[in-house]
Amino acid sequence: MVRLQIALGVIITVVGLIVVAWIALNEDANLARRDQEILARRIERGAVLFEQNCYTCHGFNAQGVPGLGPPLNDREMLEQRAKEVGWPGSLYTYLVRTIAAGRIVSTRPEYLGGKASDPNAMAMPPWSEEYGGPLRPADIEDIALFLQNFEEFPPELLAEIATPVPEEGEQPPEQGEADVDAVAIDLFTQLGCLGCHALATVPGAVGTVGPALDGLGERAASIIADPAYTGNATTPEEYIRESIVDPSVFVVAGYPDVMPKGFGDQLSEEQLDALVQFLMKQ
Amino acid sequence: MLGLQDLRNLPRDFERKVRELLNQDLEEVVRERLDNRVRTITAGLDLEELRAIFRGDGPTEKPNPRWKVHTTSFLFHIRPRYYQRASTWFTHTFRLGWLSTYLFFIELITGIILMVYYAPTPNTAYRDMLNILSNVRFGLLMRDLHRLGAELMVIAVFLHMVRVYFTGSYKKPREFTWLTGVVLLGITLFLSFSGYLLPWDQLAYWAVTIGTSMADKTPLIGREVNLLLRGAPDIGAGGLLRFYLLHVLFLPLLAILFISVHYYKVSREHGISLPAVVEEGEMDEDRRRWAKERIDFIPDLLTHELFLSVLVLVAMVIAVTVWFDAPLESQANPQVTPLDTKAPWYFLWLQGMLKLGDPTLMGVILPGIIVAFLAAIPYIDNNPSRLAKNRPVALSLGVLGIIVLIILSYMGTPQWGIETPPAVRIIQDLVPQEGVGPFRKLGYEKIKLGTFETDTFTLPENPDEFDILFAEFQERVRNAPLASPQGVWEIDMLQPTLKRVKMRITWTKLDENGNVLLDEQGQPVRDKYEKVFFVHEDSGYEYE
Repeated sequence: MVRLQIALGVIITVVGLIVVAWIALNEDANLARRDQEILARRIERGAVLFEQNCYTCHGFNAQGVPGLGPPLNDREMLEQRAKEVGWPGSLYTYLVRTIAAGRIVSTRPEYLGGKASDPNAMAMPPWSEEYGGPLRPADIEDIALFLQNFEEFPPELLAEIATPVPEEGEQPPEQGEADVDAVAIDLFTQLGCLGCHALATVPGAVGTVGPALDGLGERAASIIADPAYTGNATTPEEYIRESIVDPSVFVVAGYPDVMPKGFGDQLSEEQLDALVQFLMKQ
Repeated sequence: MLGLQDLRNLPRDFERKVRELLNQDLEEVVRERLDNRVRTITAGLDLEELRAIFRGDGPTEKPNPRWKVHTTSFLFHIRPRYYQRASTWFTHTFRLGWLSTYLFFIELITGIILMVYYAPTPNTAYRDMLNILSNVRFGLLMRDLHRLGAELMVIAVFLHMVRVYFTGSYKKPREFTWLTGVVLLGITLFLSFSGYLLPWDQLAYWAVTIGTSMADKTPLIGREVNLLLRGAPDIGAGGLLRFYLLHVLFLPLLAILFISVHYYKVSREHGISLPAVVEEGEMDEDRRRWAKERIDFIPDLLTHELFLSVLVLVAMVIAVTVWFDAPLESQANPQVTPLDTKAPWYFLWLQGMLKLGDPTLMGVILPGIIVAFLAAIPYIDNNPSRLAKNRPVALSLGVLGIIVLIILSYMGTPQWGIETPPAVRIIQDLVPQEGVGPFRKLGYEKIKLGTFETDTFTLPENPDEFDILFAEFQERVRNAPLASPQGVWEIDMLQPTLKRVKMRITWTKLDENGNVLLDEQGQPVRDKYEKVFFVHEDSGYEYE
């Protein structure tokens, strides 16, 4: 038994050493692969966090919201910005710092931060829990990794991901009332209206910066009739349109005049109509 | 002082010295020196003796030099010189006590290596885990070995106790040994559980939150115990540090103390019990004498233990290389309660009991009674016989206890008794909050772009994996207990290397009586569940 166990033990030891040697030979490649995987999964996580926290001001695709937050979906442009503000470190540290601490003063007055009418308002809130925000250091790093991953789509990929053209003979569906509503809800979400205005029919619309829009259709008439009203609208539809296109003409008492001014240029006539119709029904 | 005469004598002295050396038997001198050196190292065994040991021969000198090792060497003095043959039969002990101790040492060594790369603070702990996986050579191996060793140790210690129970080895005079064994079982469980928190991932955070909230239910001092463990009302930096100190300092020291006491009782006071049949059963007297013969520790049992050590270690290394991975979920987040929270498997029975009734009764009082009962078994059981045929009640109680433990553990799994809303369940099964799941498993390349709806989708003639997965989703959505359910996958690209997936299930809302709820326009109200997630080109899900 003693000899048998010694012999078997030696064989097993040799097997063990071979396994360890095999691990050792592959270790560097495996470390590099896991490093890449961890980075990729952090980018995925950063994207989820971005869609949860940043879309109200920077848009769902980080394409920016006029008058609210600048576009972030271009790495070259971000690098350019870091240079412009004289940031001495890498793009990554620029992003991490900006997200963590926010911006007290906007560097570009055309965005919400510029808020010429309210110079005391903060341009971008701090997001790090260290400065009173909701996110932890790792969250902010993940968002920065995600933003850094924005590059231009190469042409061959663009062709691949283009929306398929409907086949011949297929008629585009008629736009019913429900579709107009869907367009309006999409706009309401994508433009970031829901960041400031509460509205029961739109999920996620719980903002408190601007007045709640529930029952706006009925309320509009009484607003116009009020002697305090300073705008030019004569019908509720006109009032709603005016509030979107030229919000400073009349600001509901108790709210700051901070609504972005550029929607008139940004929206097509159909889009504006859809929004007005939709809000009238609220 | 060195005089002139000495210098003159120098050549002659030199010549004499050379002659002396030449006259010696050089081979003998070398052999003697080597022997002395070997004796120093092996605490008394010379070369010839070592060779005899490896050949399996008897001792070459008298008195037996192999026994002397047990007094001259510290490490060997802990071990007995000899065992009775029957107590070393494999089917009697299954080497479970040895295995538990051996695993404890594997845990010590891998644990100390892991400590080098780890700092117990909420902001660094998880980062250190990622660093160990992606930046430390053999880091993954050490972590996997440490985790596997911990799970095996729980199994080994538990089985050891079961073995001792069924062979009746806890009986007089070994009651105190059993008592220290019960304490060691507890220490093993808490060692494993305290290590659970250290990676600071979701799995860790919530398992420990549940575990410590059980302490909260202790009558009278619950709040204090909970505060003492967590360091604050919720687990945070304080709790992590406390668990770390418990895991690397307090509990290992306690374990070493109790292992020492336990082993001292076994090796010095009572020895390993003989099988009951040898001790009191009907047996041929010659055979009984043979069974009680002494077997020297050196060489028979020493080689056996070395053989087992190598076998277990190599088996563990192969296991972690081939299939065992220590789990690591996303970073701990107190804001997000995972859907399927579960206790570590060795505490599932406790979670199962908690589902049965009042947490104070089921989570604290009853387990307390069970532990007290376990510890008191040798004092309660006054049946002097260890033979199985004389212990029908004790043995059937043991079997019953194990069956109850298995049933309770099954009831503790998250599938049992907890209802998840159907839409959430379907999507959770496809893309779980933690881990990969069948959708991500497809891999970046196979995930198609476009909009896919359960109402219009038909399986193409040559379906690929993606189509098949969507067909399964379609089937599950259609069969879900929801009113006119509809499922959609919207997949587009957000970045050149990042695909965005929106999975959505909508259904018509019903009131309590099962009637369709209508909105102001008379349209049925639709409810929805949506999950948005991303898949990156390099995330490597397809290889998991």
